[in-house]
Amino acid sequence: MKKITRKTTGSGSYLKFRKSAGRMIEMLQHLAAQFFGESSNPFTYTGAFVLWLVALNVVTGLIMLLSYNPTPDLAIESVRNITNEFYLGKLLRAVHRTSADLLVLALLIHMICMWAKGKYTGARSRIWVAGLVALPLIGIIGWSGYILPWDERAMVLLAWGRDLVYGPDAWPIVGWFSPGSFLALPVFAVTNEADQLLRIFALHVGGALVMFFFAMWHLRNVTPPKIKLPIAMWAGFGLLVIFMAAMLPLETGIESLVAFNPYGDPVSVRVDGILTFPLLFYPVLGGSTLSAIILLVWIGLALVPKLEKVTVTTAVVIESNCVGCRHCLDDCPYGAIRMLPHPDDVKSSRGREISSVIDSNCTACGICVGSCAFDAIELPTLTSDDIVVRIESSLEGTQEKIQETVTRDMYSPFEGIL
Amino acid sequence: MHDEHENTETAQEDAGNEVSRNSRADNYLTGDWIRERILLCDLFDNMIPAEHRRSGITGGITSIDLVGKAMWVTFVLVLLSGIGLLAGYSPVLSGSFTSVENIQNSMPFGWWLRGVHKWGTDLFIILAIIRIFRIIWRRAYRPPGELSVLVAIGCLIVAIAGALTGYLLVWSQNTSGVYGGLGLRAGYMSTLFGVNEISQVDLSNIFALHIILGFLIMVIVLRIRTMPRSRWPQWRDFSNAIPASIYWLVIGGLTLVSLVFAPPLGSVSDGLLSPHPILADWFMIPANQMADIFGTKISMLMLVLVLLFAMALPLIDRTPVRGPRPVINAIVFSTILTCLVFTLRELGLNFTPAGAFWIILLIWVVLVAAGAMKETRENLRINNRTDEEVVEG
Repeated sequence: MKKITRKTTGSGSYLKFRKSAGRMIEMLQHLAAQFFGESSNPFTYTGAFVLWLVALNVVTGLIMLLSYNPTPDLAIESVRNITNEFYLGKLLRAVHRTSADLLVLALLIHMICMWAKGKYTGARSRIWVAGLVALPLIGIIGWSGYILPWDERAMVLLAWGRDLVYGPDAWPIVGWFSPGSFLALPVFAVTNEADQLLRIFALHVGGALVMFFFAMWHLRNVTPPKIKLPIAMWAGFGLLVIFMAAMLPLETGIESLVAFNPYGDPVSVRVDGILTFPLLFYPVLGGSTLSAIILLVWIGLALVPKLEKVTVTTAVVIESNCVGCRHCLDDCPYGAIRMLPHPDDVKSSRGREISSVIDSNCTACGICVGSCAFDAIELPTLTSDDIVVRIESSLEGTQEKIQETVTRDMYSPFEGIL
Repeated sequence: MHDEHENTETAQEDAGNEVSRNSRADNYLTGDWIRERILLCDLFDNMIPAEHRRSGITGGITSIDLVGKAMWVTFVLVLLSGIGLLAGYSPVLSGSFTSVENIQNSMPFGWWLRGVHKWGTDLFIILAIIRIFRIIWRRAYRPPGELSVLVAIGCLIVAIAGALTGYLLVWSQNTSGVYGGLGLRAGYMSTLFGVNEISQVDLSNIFALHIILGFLIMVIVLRIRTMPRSRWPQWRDFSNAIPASIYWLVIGGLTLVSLVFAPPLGSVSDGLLSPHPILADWFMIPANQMADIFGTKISMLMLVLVLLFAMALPLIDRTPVRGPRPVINAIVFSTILTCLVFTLRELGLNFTPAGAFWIILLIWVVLVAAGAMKETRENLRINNRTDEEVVEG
């Protein structure tokens, strides 16, 4: 079988920068381990924090949906009703808002950690792109959420959003989607207030539903996904969110309700919260420049996996999962596994040893991945389907299919979505 | 050579079965038993038993194996069209019917959204029913698939809940008077508070429940989709991929149907008029007819018993023999025939309650007796077989 060794290529200065950032994150992780302990280190659960905040958002949002009414006459009345009449209604709204803000923060932290650790190469480029697609979706959900009370701030944000989409009207393709045309964006192609609010409401609720598909796409390619926080962590973090929500003032805009014109010129209004932070630059830059910058940043982030290309690596042991059962040792045809004493000095009969890969012997055939019952050994740059192909063809003794999985361009993020 | 290989595989699997059956007793009381079953939860028909895979052509996968995948495609279509409908539907007592009319007649592709949403739900219910019958007929509830019947019945109940809350959202004369729950609530309110009508709060709550259902399903699906794969030797992961033909059939079929048949709309709900007589939807016909024949209480009891029987099948049927069993077949076919008889009665074939009772009893007795006789013969044949034949299965 062809020998495959670890090989990372990429532009030197970028790689140096990325790796030094990775070392910094590792240092932080080590520091956090001193405080929280190794098993509940928050740096290993950055993605699970995001999911926990999504869960908080969904639950509080669905409770508020019981009373919210998406019609221009009744919207603000129903929001007032939730705030003042609901049992714990004010806290409910505040938790919805605060956890949405924290969600964006947690998402950025998660993204920076994954980037610095280099967890976006090979088959993982799919995960990276799936997360990037969900990012603007979360921005849109947050923006539409501000509009739902249909107060003065809603009007301003609506006008800014319209300007952000239709601002670069002179661009070649954007003009096709302007309100009068056949291809007009359904969200804005309306002539009356009632329809406008309904479309925004559909964007908010429907966007949240669509986000589940992206979450599925994102998590399906992670092995094994750490999606559950340890109980102490989620309880503590949830209490922190509720505490923050109770402390921070909730600006509803109800008091400052004035007559408004949804299609008029935007006036100045304070944009609070992290969720709509790109809109902070709106008064300075204007709609077209801001949307161009957002678009360029997004495309740049989506192309980040192209900067670094990793060919198929040797097998990697996930030490937290290994129980020392020796199945991989028995099955490996190349003698590439050896058993080492467990570093944590385990007392029980199970897990006294831990397996380790001898890189120079490993051919990345995938047999050990198939033999492991605990998801403790993996080929990080290959998908499960690729591993099955490699195992089958190495059992049959054929080389062609293995070559296919090696030479195929790994940057194919839209493969196998559904 | 080939046969020999198959034989050894079967023998190994039997050995595996034996081990699992022994260790099952230990696991019953611990969380491991449930955890393993949840890991095996085959919501999307990704797994088929190895014995079935061997027995059939094209790798053992026939179109009935793909029902779970078709259900997923249908559900995604229903969800996406529902998000589209959100953009046009206004959940206000005075405006909801008009907004549905607008969606149907003036919104771009509104007819498609509404048609796919309505007929897609019906298709989902059909597929869920087919799936329940497939599981029982194939006896896929045997270990380790004990929860499969439960999952399929859960799918059906969720779909029917979605359909019932969805009908009310149209707020037409047909829907406002139909459902007993709301009538009960109105009566309750009038007794307690002197309120004699269904208020805006009710419509808002139903609307919220309809959307909560979508979120609930997505949360469950996300949880199942992100679970590690099963490692049971008796079952094999065959594919996560959905064949293109399913997309074509479901999307094309639903588009064609919604182009030809617009979902019924009715007329605006009017509190001053008496509501229309109850029009049972097709999936409620058997229950409706049962209520008509046996009375509400007895028919509810019977439905609950039937569901409990289906859920308890893994406890009742513990025979280690593989493949379809005659008594189970008789139960499946007699249930289908009973539903057909009820449908005929709904269509106007006028027989009395007593007549219906005797017809159903006759169907059940004939089919179950025939099945039992066949089974006895089968058992005799199995007992007379040599050990070698038994290994061949």
